[in-house]
Formats: sequence, C-alpha cells, structure tokens
Amino acid sequence: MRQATRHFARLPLLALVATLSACDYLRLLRPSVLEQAEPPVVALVNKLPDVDRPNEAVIARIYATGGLTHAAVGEDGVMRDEIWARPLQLIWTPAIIVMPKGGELELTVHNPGKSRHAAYLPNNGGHMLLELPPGTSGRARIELDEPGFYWFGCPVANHFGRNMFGFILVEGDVPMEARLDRPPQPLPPED
Amino acid sequence: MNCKGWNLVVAGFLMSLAAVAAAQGQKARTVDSERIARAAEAEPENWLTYHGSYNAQRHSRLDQINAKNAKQMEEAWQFYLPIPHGFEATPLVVDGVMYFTTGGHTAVYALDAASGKELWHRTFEVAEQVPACCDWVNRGLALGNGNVYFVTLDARLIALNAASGETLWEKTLADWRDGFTATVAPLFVNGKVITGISGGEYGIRGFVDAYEADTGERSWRFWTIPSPGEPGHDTWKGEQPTWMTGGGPTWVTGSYDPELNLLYWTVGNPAPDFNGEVRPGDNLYTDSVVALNPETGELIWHYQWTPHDVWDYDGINEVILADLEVKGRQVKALIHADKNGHFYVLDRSNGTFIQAAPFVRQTWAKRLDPKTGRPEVADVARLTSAMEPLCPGPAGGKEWNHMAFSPQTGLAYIPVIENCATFRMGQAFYRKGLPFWGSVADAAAIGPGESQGAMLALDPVTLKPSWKIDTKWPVMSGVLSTAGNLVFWGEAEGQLHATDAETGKDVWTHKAPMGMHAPPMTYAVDGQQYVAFPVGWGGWLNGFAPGLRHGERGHLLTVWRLPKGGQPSADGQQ
Repeated sequence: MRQATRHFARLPLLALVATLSACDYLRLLRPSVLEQAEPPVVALVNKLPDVDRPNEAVIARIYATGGLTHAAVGEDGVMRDEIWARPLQLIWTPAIIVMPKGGELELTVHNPGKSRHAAYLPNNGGHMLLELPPGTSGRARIELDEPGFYWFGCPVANHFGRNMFGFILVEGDVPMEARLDRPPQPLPPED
Repeated sequence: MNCKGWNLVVAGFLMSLAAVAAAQGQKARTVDSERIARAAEAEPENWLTYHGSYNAQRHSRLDQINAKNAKQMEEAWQFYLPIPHGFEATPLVVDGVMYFTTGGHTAVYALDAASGKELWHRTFEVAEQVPACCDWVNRGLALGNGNVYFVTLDARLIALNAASGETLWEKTLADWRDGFTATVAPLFVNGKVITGISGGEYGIRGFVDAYEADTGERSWRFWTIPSPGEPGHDTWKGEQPTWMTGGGPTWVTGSYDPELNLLYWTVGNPAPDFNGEVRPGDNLYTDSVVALNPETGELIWHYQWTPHDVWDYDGINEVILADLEVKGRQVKALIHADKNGHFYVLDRSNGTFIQAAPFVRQTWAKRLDPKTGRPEVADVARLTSAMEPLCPGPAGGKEWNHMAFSPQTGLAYIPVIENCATFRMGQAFYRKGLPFWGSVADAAAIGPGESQGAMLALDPVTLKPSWKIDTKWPVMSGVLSTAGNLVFWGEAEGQLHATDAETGKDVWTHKAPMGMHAPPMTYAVDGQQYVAFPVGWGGWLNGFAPGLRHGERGHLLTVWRLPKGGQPSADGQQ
C-alpha cells in the first residue's frame, strides 16, 4: 500500500516531465548541452566583447560544438595542451585553446577516426602543418608571442569550410616597457 | 709512408678554402651607415635602404635601361603570393639578394635577385583583431650589420639574420590593444634602427624610436605629442588630457643627412581626425616634419605644414633632401608634396620656410603666408556637420606613395590624386583601441567618378609643372627615377609605365593583372640592370578610390630587364 501511494505521488511529476519533454527549449537541459555551460566557458563568453566584436558570433558557435581548454604551463615555461578531431563530426574538441600568456605551446592533436585530417597552426616564423593520418596523433610546438586570438583549422578537403576550425586565445600583457599611459576610460556621454 | 707531401696538399686545400670564404665574406660585406650613405654613388647595383638612399630621392644611377631602349624590356621573372592585402613594400637588394615584406600576417622573403628563386621566408602571426584603419600592410625593411630589421602589424620590431632568416631579437613597441600598429620600414643609421608607429585613427600618442641594432635595446624615444612641461605642450588645449590621445603617427620612413647629422621624420594627423573642437591649438608636432639628432632623439627643429588639422591632411609624406639653387641662393633644401595639396621647399639645415605652391586643385586654404608658409584657412573649410565638398579630400593631393627627384633633370615626379570630399564632423569620444575620428562613418566621402589622378613632373625651384600625364584614377604607386632618363610608375588598374623623364612621353607600358600601390625600384646583378614592380592592390581604398574597392588583390613582384645582347630570348630566361 505504501508502495502504491509513493507511485501515485510520482504520477504528477512524471506527467510534468512528459509534458515538458515535448517542449523544445527544455530539451536543451540534457547533460550534453549542459556541459557546454561549464563555468570557464561562461566566463570566456562574458569576456567576448573585449576579445573581438566582429567575430563574436563565430566564436560563440565554436563554443557550442567544441568547448575550450586551458593550456597548462610546464616547469620549463612551455605551455601544453591536447585536442581531438572528433570522428565523423568535422569538429575539434576542444576548439578553443587558451594560453595564459604569450610563448611556446606544445600541442598534441589526436585523430582517432577513420578520416584523414591535418592541423594548420598559427606560428611565429611561419604556419605549421601537422599531418594526421587516420588513427594517429601528432605533436607540434608553436610560438605565439602577442596577446590576441589566432585561428587554426583542418586544411584537408573542405574541412575548414565545414566548421573544422578553432582558435587559440593568448591572454596576458605586453612587456612593461611597451605599456603606455592611456587616459582613464569614462562611460560614453549621453546624446 | 711519408705523409709530409699529403700534409702540404691538405694545408694548401684548406688555405684555398679560406681564401674563397674570405672572398665571399668580402662580397657579403656588412651594410653599415657609411656604406648606405655612399651607396647611391658607389654601388648603384644595390638598393640598401628603403628610399634607395638617405636623401630619399629614389633616383638610381643605373642607365643600362634608358629612354632609347626601354621598349625592348622583357620580364625576367615574377614571384606571386596569394595575399589578399595591399602590397606596399619597397624591396631591398644587396649583392644579388632581394628582401621584401608582405601585407597580411607580416612575412619577410629573401630571393635570388637575378632568378627570383626563394632563399628563405619567415611569417609572423598577427592576432586577428589587430586594429588597422587602412588594410594589413607593411612597407619594407632596413639592412644593417648583417641583419634585416622590420616591424610587424602588431607593433613589434624584429631583427633577423639576413643570411639564414633566424631571429636575433624582438621588441614590442607598444600594445596593439591600445590602437598602436606598425607598418613602416625602419631606417638604419649609425648602428641604430629607427622606427615609427601607426594608429593615428585610434587616438594613439605617436613616437619615433631608436634601438641598438645588435642588441635591440632602446636608445631613445621621441614623443610626437609633448607632455605637460615640454615645449609645444601649450598647443594642446582642451578639457580632456588631449595630448595623451593626440595621434601624431610616424608611419613613413624618414630621411637622413650625414653631413648635418640630422634625421628628418614626418608626423601624421592629430586625433580625433575631424573634430578639432576638443583639441584647440596648433597641435604640435602633428602634420609636421621634425629634425632630430639620431644619437639622442633630441628635437633640433620642426616645421608644421598644417597647424590644427581637421581634414586628415597628415603631413606624413616623405621629405626628399636635395641641393637646389632657389632665388639665386644655393640651398640645402628639403622638398615635400603634402596631402594638403601644396608643394614645399624648406632649408633643411634650420627648418626655414623658403617657398610653396599648390600642385593640385585646393580650396581649403585662402593662401599661405609668403614668409612662413602658414596657411590662412578658407571659411568654407571650417568643419560642421554638413558642408560643401572641399579639395583635396583626406587622401590628399598625394598619399604616402613616394615621389622621386632626379638631380639630372632637376624635377620632382609626383603621383597625384585630384579629388574633393564632403567632410563630416561628429562627436569625439575616446575608447582605447577603437577608432577615434570625431566623425560619422563616412567621415569624408568621395562621390563616384570624383577622383582622378596624374603623374606630374614639377620643378621645385620654379614650382611650375614641366609635364603631366592625366590618369583615370589617382596614381597610387610610388615613383622611381633613373639616370637612363626614365621615370617608372604604375596605375591603379595595373598599367605600368616607363616615361621619358624630360618630355613626359611614355616609352614603355605593360598591363599588370592588379593595381599598383608600392614604389618600383631598380638594381643590377652581374652587370644586368633590373626594374622591380611590386604589384598588388589594397590600402586605404575608401580614401582615394572607392570605385576600385573590389580591385584584384595579391602580391606580385614582376621584374624586367633588357634582353641580353639586344635579342629577347625565347623563354625570357638566360
């Protein structure tokens, strides 16, 4: 009897879930979507206006598919991180690599799928191309010295054009001697 | 077995190797200030510095290609890069090796100057959101101490080993997120690398910097906008700290007089460009030329072309050093064709004004004071939110693309823009790294079909034109003058010209696939003279030719010479 009561008590809840599951918006609450809203992604989205307004929408789209990763700074000062070419999806995960400062990044790229890919990476001194035959991984050491964001992508076939691209965001500041006095930043005057 | 004989042979072989190495070392002898100062006279086969010589005349003593035989020229080689940004660089050549920089992500290329074969290249990545008003461009490099020096768009100064391309040192000039960028070709003077900065449309505070060529240590910085307490600061009035955001960029390579030991550098527009209400006063040293001591950066004299500029007339155009006889007097002159439509002659030893006259149609100035050259601004030129078209427009009577001066003909060859624009003043509000124009979006609109050009040969002594070739669009290429009595230049739609320097008659033309914005240059390898045309459209198109906004882009170096023995070879190669 007690068992039955408990079941009956659950009925309205089940009904509610059944109703809501028909609603498109609430479907977005599924875990695979929710994980996109992890705090670091949200934090970076909030930073976007400072990053780049013209490309804001493109960057936001990349978050939704790829997410982001923060490169770890090694004891030797070199930053390290890894990304994957997701099989059959033509995306990089993570698609956004955050370097906490300018310098060298050792990037490991995995291609676990059956398609051929390559990573065309920005690099001071010339772009770097990492060939990624099916089922292989590769490693490249690139150098980006100035703060800002830099695109990378897969140049095989039209993978870049089909969204297989991401960007490296270099945080940090320019050297002390290159920082100049700038006036305070007041709010815009009202018209 | 007696090995003495073998030892001798080995020793002899090693000695001959050493002799070959020494001979090669001599050939690749170091480029220094002394060598650059004498280069135009002593080694016309090389083009060792941005303007070809310290006096910036862009005149070469090479005369193998001349007005009589230029029509036989054939293409020696071409080198193409699919870079969709303006090609504004002047290549340098030293002992058979050519160096040039590209637009887009800044790259440096080293080529065999006779064949066009690549020796090495380096690309320097620029962050995607670097703010540049007028295309991602670069104008070239400096040679010295066995290195090449250049700036990147994100305001870095880099030294590479000229033989291998390896990085020697790298300095950040300023933070691009504050609106600072760099496009200028540095100048090598007395062991120092002198460079300027861009960003006049973003409220920067401009400067000229000098770095030790070997170490990259900064020797001095000359601020183009004086801070409180410095002479000239009182020309910046207004409520806000206007001097901090006063502009005054320095993106055109200066000239140098080794005898007077003076460095001449031009300074661009004040910021905000079109709203002068927030910066009452003359706004020194914007729209000026400053003469500096190259060892210390100390200001020796200055001359301001356009005090309190509100039309973006810059004043950045090159200054050519030439010795002239003006009004019966021998003058160490400095000549300059300004964006404001006037051609100036100054005494370069002390900055005294000698004479000036308009070289295009101009309506903004009633007249220039005959003693000082200071303009009396016409009533129609006072900026309001709605006004009639004014001449010249903000791209000027002439843009940065360089004129040439021939000591042989005594003429200056000026690439001319004939246009008028409707200026609009607007609200001026500074935000770090954002455009600071003091205007609306179409700050200075040129209507369709309202922008033409010309190649003008002007006598700087009489200030009278000698000849003129009218063109459909503004002439946006630089100019090269040679002892072969020729003037080389290119049009906005790609027509390349070799023109008789005295008569103004075209002796050779060729249609390149893209418009030309860079200056041509000349050099020789093994006794064969070459003329290089860097072709590739881009730059501040809205300012000078909005009608050609969609012109073909790319970087094409097309290099020409006479056929050997007067007979063109079948494949254009030797």
